[in-house]
Amino acid sequence: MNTKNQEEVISSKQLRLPRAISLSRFLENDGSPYFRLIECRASESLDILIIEVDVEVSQRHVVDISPIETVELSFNVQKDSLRGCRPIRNDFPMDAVHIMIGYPDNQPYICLWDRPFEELKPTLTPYALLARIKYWLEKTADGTLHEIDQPLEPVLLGSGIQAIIPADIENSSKRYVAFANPDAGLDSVIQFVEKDPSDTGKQSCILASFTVPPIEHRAVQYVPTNLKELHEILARIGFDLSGELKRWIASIGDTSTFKEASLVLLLSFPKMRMQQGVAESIEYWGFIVAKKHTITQVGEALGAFIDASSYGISATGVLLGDKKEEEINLKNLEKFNIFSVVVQPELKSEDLPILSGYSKSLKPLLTAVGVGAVGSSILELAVRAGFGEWNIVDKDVFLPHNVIRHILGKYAVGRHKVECVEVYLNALVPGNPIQKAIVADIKNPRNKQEVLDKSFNGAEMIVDFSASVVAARQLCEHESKARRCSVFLNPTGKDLVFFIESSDRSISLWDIEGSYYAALHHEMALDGHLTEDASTNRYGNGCRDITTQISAAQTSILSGIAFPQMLERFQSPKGFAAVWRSDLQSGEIKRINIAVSPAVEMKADEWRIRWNSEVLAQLFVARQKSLPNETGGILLGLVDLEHKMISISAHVFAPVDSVQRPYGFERGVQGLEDVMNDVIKQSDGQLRYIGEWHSHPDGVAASPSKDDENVFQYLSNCFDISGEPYCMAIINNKDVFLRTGSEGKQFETKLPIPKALLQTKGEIHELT
Amino acid sequence: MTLPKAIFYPSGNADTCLIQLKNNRRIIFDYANNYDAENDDCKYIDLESEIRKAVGNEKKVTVLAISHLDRDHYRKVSDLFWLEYAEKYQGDDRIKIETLWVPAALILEEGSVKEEGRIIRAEARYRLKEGKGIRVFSNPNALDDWLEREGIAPEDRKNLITHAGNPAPEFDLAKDGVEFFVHSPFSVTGDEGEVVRNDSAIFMHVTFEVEEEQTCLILSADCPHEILDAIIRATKKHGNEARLVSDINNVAHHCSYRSLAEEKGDDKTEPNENIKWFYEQQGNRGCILISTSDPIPTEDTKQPPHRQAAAYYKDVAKTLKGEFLVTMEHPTKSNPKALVLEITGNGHRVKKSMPAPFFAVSNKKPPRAG
Repeated sequence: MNTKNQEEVISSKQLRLPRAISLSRFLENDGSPYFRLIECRASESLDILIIEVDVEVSQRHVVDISPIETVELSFNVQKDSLRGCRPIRNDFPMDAVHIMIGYPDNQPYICLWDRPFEELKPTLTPYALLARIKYWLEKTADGTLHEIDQPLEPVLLGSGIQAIIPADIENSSKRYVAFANPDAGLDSVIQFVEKDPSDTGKQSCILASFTVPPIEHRAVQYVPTNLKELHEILARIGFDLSGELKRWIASIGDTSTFKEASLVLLLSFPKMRMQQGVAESIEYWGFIVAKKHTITQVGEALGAFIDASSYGISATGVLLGDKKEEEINLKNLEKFNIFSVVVQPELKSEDLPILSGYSKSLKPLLTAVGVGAVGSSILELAVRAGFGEWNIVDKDVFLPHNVIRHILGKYAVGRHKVECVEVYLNALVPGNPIQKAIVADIKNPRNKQEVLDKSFNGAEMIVDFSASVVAARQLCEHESKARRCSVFLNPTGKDLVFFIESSDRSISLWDIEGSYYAALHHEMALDGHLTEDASTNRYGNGCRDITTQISAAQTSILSGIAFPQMLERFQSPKGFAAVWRSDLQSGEIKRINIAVSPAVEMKADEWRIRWNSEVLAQLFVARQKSLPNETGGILLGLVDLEHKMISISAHVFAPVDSVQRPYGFERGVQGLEDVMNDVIKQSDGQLRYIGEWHSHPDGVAASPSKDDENVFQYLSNCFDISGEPYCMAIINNKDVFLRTGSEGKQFETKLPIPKALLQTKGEIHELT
Repeated sequence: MTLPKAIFYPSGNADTCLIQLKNNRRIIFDYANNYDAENDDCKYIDLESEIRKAVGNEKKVTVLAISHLDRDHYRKVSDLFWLEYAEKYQGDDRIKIETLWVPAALILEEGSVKEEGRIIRAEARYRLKEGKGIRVFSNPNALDDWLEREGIAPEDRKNLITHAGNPAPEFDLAKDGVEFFVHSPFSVTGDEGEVVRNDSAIFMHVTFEVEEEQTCLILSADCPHEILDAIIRATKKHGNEARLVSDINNVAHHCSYRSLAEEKGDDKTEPNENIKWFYEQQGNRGCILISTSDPIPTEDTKQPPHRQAAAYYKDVAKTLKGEFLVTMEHPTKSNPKALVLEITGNGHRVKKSMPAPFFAVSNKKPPRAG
């Protein structure tokens, strides 16, 4: 038909590619009133359609797009691909965003999609193709084609060798040399390292780094192929490359160490979204001058050096010194072929949250206790997301079976977990997120108390990954004002438990733990949480050397839930607790929230009694409802003998056989045993009987009557011998009276009922 | 945000412009329905259906303006609208007119008024006598004799009469985002002391305001060049040049050369300096010139549209980087549709939305099957 590049006008019937044929058919049959087929052309490899498009534009538009535009659509016949879509108006705005200046024809091609044509083929109808062209023109006219939150367009387009540059290269006065593995071919990655000043040996590549003036992002151009083209591209954005390069070469003085070296240019393009804006990102491009040309030759072409041989001297690269500035002959630069280098700056710490999709960078000082499977996995996720600067505490040594689900590998066996985790995580991301690794047992710190105190007191949050009730309570009791968070798995490893205190600590880990045990009883969805048998293996001879069979998949999934929770909840002042129950076989995960409430603390000598405010409110309401009779029931909660803590987190209303009179209450027993058995079972014995409560009518003091003394005596008889504390509470319309007994001693305290408490509407469930 | 719209309908050489405001008030400036349901080749739009669709269940327009008593400006008004003067023109499916806008001549005209014209005249006279639901655009005192004959003191109807050089009080730029400034009917004293009077037709300058940006529309009906020239002179004389600025210009009389000049010209009509100034200087960049007419012929024709006038308007549009659009050619001659101009904070925007093939199928009855 014709020679390869020659185009001739043809009829639509002479089109060859089915895609081009169906497009012409659509246009010729009035498929849309807004497109008209003007002409068809063909060359050896291309089918071309010239199409007129009616564009919906506002009268005053941002980019000069006309109400009618003509575009050329060229299809590659052999490949069945769209070679390009090119507006053919002479004064079409070449600089518009999402235009690519073609090579070598220097024509504007519009970037229609953000996906390769190959991916679109299955669904690309003539209608869809034309609609997209119309959309492109209309959105470009409005200046809205490029979304506000879309990253800026690249300045140049091309491919080449990958190069990694140090994050601080722009502000650094250091001189860098580049190296690459010479055996790796063109796919190799070049790395730049700081030049050792004492190294006077020959260098193969020397880096010259320049920053061009900020530019508004615009049409994309193909990378240039020689120094002259590069100079011209940069000249258009106000940067005199040849002049700057000449000055740079002249400034480097002694040429002996690099006169045979190749020149590598690093160009930083600060990019703005709009003119007069601020540079919001930087695009880097590297160019290697072909190896056959040395820096000396470039210097000579620029007039920075004289070619000594032309003076009969057997040396090259003689510095011109004070020789008068001469006009640089750009033609001289054309012979220096250049190869583009795709430059990636090293990752910076501040990039981590952005690239992770988290809105802001959070760097609180945090202390994590326990770097076991869950702790280390969550820490890894945290540092990859750039969250926090961490001190980490653990006493354990890494043992062979830890490999199963820990982030460390067998190389760490026999070494302290914290130290290995520190090395591992600091090598993982920039910025050394692990500040300190402390080998210590928080339950028995010995000579580490001081360093632990410092770490806890300096932290904004202390995170307990210890999977130990004792350790969590120990942490809760530390003098530090930091908020606490506790994350652990249930014994089977299928459920994730997440607690975080309110930032003012009015809801403490004590209170959350109590609410958690109460929820285990009343929340059906938590059935079996602590009671299901875990499959275990013994890894040592000791009776405690048992490990549960939990896969890395299990810990990864649950850690993956825990970390974003920690990140989100850290940013809220509220306390929160929830359990996620996973079923790895079906892939289902379900969240069960645990209602948490602030506590009201009463002191009784060495004992502290923390009332869950919702429980207290419910008792008060029950009293009101029973008037004029008295009412009562039993109190449930957790008891810690070491910390002398009683946390009242649940209660049981008066059993049906109770006797309620205006001036007396006798608590019945019917059904109580079953309730208590279930409470103990579901909470694995953590939630227990605390004592009795009953109400007094209005006008009767919240203090024990003669009958009440008998009740307390009865409790004393039961519990004093066992060493367990016990309580008796009396509530009237104003006060809560509490008498606590322990090992033969009695302590009394009275607290006015806080007004706000009476309006609390929590979800603490009555145990029935 | 709902944007105001100006919609021109393809009804051949006939004018209908519906202006829809963001507050749902509507103005129909002339209404001429040439649609013939019996004719399968009829390319005129089914105007009644279009207007019913636009008005919706409210069945009410704020204003119906009849620029003058020519059939191509009122045809089938009496089929669609609720007329107050006779029960015959009242019914649940009819669209009510809050205010009827007419020129004084429409009231006064006694000559060869065609049948439907008489109906409209009767309605206008009824409303004026009743003293409500009408605005008459008139020269001062032009209606006095008629009113007195009807036993009405002219002073009592003063509030219903608006003179040239004033905005119509039914709309407020701040509240409605639109203002209608009346250029004609008018009277003007010429350079040689002669008085040019024109009571026959309404000529308006409409200003839309969206996001504090103004877009101006000229509605000139069938204005001949002499009257246009007189309007321009009067406007300049009063220093009101801004009232002749246009972003959308509904060129007069279905693209007749008579609205530009006395001479048609061989290939292009050449207007006088005043009219050139009006189109070329007062037209803003991107101005759309709209001919409410049949497609522009390639040969000379007696009736408008005239290719020579179209050649002038096309050149103006090209210079202004705008467009010259013909209602019966938009978007194609074979299948003309309503020409919808959305008024945005960046001026007008001619809607060219591209329904997906499915919608094209779903909006159209399939051909009859056996």
